[in-house]
Amino acid sequence: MDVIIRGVDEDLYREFKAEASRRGMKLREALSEAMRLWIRSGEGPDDEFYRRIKGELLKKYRGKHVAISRGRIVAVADTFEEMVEALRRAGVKKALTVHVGEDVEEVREWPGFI
Amino acid sequence: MRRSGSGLGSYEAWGCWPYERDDPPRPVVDVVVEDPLTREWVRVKARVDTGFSGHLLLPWEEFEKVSSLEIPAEERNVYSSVCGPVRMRGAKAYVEALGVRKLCLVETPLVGWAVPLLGRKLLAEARVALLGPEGRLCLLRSRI
Repeated sequence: MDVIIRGVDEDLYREFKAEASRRGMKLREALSEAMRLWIRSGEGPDDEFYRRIKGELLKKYRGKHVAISRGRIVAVADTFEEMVEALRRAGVKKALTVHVGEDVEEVREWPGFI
Repeated sequence: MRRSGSGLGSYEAWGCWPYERDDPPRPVVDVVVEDPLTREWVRVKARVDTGFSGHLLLPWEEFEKVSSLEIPAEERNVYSSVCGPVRMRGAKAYVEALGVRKLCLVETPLVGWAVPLLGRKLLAEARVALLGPEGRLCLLRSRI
């Protein structure tokens, strides 16, 4: 399909176009790929909120299960099951969830991936 | 190594899955993944992958259905592979496989495609035997 988008950042667009060219991609291919990646990344305002309050969570809620939805903490519980119950009672359908101090980024092994 | 007549020693098989046809055949198991919040579930046939150190890898299409409780992007795992680091999205879900049901981190790669893989974190929970010549993966239980 064809689209016309106004008000795109000029410098960013130039940089994007140059990068597409360096990779030997047509602009439409690069844009489609970029959109696909952006959707798949799944990063949203709740991730931003989590980054901002992570230090505070570690101080106040270490060991607790915390859920974040729409830019606020919607549940804090001692167990995962209690947290899920609290989310159900609050009518939350989707949330970021973290076992504070336990769920941390790890570098793991997957030698078979190609 | 001591050998016993049955090949399974003091264990016996109590549930088996046939290998999937390929050359060579591949061990696979049935896995049910349930979203703890929405209770939506998917059933997949996962390849047993002792090289994958996570719980369960899912293709994007399946992951999407059971991932209402994702972990923050900041805490996503990175896997070191022959193609370099692979970053994952991860969600908490109940996984039922190999006679075990537990809360797991199910993952899908941010880029590229994936097939369902059952990794070492789940394999470590179960007693399984790969019976290559018979073309079966079997769950074991103690005879004693």
